[in-house]
Amino acid sequence: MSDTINRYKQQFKAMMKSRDGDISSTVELRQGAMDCFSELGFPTTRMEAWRETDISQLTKRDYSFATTKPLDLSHKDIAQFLIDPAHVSTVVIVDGNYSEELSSIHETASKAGAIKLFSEIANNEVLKSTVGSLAPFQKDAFVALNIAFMSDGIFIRVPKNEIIPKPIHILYLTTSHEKEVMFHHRNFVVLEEGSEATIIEHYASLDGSPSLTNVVTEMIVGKNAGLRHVKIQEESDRVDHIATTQADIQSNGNYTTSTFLVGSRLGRNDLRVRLAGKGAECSMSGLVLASEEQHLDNHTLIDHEAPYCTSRELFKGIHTDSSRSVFNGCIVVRKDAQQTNSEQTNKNLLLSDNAVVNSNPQLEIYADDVSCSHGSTTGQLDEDAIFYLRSRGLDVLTAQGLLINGFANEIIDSVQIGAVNIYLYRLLSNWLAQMRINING
Amino acid sequence: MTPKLDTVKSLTEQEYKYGFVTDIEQETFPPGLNEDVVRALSAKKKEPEWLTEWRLKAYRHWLKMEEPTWPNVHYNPVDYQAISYYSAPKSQADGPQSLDEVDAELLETYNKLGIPLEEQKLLAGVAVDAVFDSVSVATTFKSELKKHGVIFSSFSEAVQNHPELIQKYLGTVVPSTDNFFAALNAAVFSDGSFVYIPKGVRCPMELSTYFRINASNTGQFERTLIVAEEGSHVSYLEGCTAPMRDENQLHAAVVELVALDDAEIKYSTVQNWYPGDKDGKGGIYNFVTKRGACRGKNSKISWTQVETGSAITWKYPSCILQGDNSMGQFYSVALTNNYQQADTGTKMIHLGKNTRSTIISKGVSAGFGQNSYRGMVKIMKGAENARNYSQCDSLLIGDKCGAHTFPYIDVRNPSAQMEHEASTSTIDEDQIFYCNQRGISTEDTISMIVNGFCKEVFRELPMEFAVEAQKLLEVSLEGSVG
Repeated sequence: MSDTINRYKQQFKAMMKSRDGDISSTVELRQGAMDCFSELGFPTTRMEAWRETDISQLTKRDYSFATTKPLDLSHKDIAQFLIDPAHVSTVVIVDGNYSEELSSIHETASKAGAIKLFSEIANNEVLKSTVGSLAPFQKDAFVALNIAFMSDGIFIRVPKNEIIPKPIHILYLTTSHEKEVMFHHRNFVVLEEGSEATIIEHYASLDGSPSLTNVVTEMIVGKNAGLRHVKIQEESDRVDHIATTQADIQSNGNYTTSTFLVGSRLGRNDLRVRLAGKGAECSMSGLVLASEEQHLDNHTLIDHEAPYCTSRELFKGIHTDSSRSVFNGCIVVRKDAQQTNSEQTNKNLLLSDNAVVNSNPQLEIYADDVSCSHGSTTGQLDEDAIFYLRSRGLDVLTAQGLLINGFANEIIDSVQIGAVNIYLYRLLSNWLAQMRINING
Repeated sequence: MTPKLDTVKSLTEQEYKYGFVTDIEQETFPPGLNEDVVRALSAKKKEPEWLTEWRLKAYRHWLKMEEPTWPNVHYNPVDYQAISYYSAPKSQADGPQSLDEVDAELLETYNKLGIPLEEQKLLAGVAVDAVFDSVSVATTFKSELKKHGVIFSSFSEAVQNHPELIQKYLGTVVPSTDNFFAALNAAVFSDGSFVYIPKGVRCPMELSTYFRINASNTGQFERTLIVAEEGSHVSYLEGCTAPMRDENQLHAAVVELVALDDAEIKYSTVQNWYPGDKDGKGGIYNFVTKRGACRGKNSKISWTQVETGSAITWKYPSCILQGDNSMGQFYSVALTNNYQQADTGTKMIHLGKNTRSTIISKGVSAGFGQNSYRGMVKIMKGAENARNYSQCDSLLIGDKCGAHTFPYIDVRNPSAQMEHEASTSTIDEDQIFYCNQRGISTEDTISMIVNGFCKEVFRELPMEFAVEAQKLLEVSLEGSVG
């Protein structure tokens, strides 16, 4: 372990040297986080939160921070990852660098001054006091590592009572590299009182270079504000993807989030929501499409701190080949959170003999006047349903495809943003086509 | 009863010269645990050498282990060196001489539970006549069991009389190195029960520790082993609805069940040890490892438990479903009141084809009680068509208590079907109002609702136990509504 930490320490020194100028204002913060990381070390399977996800392969890889200039890309190169530009503002980050040519920010968003880069407000006290305020790095090795190495980040602030009608699509792209590189992205979203916005966080790779993506996203949803959040992760199967998202919802705020975990070799998604004000609502859904040797892990936490809050959670997973997925969903209802209403469901489909599913839905309840429930199911496609379809002339694969589509569409449908839905349906049908080739082959 | 330190010191020193001499009268070992204590304990019980070695191996492994911290319970650390690991069965002269000397509160509880006077004496540890009813009943039962070839004896007796069976099965379900408390138990277990049901025998009666004459002083490290041979059937009852008089704070028991082809074991527990006073002082720590192995085809193990006592309960009766078509069941009611904490649940490990398991867990929290369900369902690769159904419901009474659910589900076979459901709710004010309006007191209403809530589990209990369990819940919940 100490070898690994030393390697990261050396990387840190080298990075501080090479990026001397542009990160001067955050030197102390980064150094503190690095010290913290050295002390914590990477999590092991002996820790409860990482019991089912073994990252020892990840820690062995010799990741270094990216130094080379990103490739010049055109719209054509990235077209496959774009959501209809007529309907969304697009922010494109290539290998951790903002690309002005590829991005197109819609008028309503630019007028409100909503989207900024960390580097643009680097000397601003606002940044210093907010970044890391929701997701502290002291106890989390990956968050600490993120602060120490973070590249430029996206800072979205929607002013009071402002409504941004078009979704903001943030596309993080990884291009090819000679070495195994790592990227530490960071997003910070603040919705002030009564405002509304839609954010799409999107991670993809242009080719199969091995890399590590380590993201930290912090979100504040103010009083009566409404945030829709979609996360799509479709990186290549040689990428390790670790993400930590922390959202704080103030009173009567509404947070809707949908996670689509499709890509990466090892994918870990920590999604934590704090319902901090009376009457806050959270609706969380997720879809995992796991194939080949993938290991995908969703860890969610909904923390009911205030009374009269509602939360809904539905995660589904489809597993083929030797893939493995973990769902660990925890709902905490604090002592004062009376009149909480909470529902959590996890459903898994196993399509091959070697796939493994771990499902740990958890409830921790300290208040009495609550209504909470959770459920979890794991199984295969209903034989009777397949038989029914086949008796009407459909072949096995088509019948299976129909049923799988129906299973997955429930999550995609819940997104309810036309252009994004179209993108997600395409993603699903591509995945299914790929899977079918595997089954036939 | 005072420990004779000098004697023990000389005793331990002797070991190196001549081996152990056990003819010195010694009632209780001085507190502390080391290899010599384990040896001395084993020698005291005249155990064969392999068992001594087995204990020592467990002890050595225990030294390397750490006490688990993952359960959702909080307690002051236990000083393992402050416990005396052997105490000879107490003579009845030490106990209270008549019921007048027994704690009045305890007696009141007995009366509420409707326990006959003679039984009250036995439970409270009052010296009783040799001709006391249940003793003679027990003797009759023994001859009946003998006729069928059923072995039902204390563990120590079994070690002497049936060493080959003990050696064959001991530690095969819960290895001596399994976990911190199981290892401790393996090193220093005092006594317990041994049950052996021969091939094809349906045990003619429900076996209960209650009827085993020397059951009263099995000590704090109890070890139970039940073996059901091919095609046999047994129902075993452990514990008692009445609060037990007990001075030991730490209880670390181990229960092992082995069911061979077509065999069925039904294990029912009612646990009502001292839960501590209203402020959470005192009370028993109950850290138990219970596991059953369905080794044979079509075998079945069923656990039913009603947990109302102990300050802290840490207990996961589990089933290893090895044989094809084997079946595991877990029915549990856990109640925590005042400052009680319970972290309990089950593990169902599906290995064989067509294995089925059912989990029904009901948790009731009142006062400052914290109740956690922690369960694991693991469906391994070879477990074709495995089926699991889990249901965990929690009922909260009062706003200072907590109910938690931590299921772990691990599926490695696509033909498996598993379902888990959990819900948490409170008793509705409307329900209470409705009953009040019809002249039912709030306390009766609560007990009625709680009993209804637990019905599914009570139904699994043997008749007389079920009746007592209902009353027990009433008593345990007393004062939980203001």
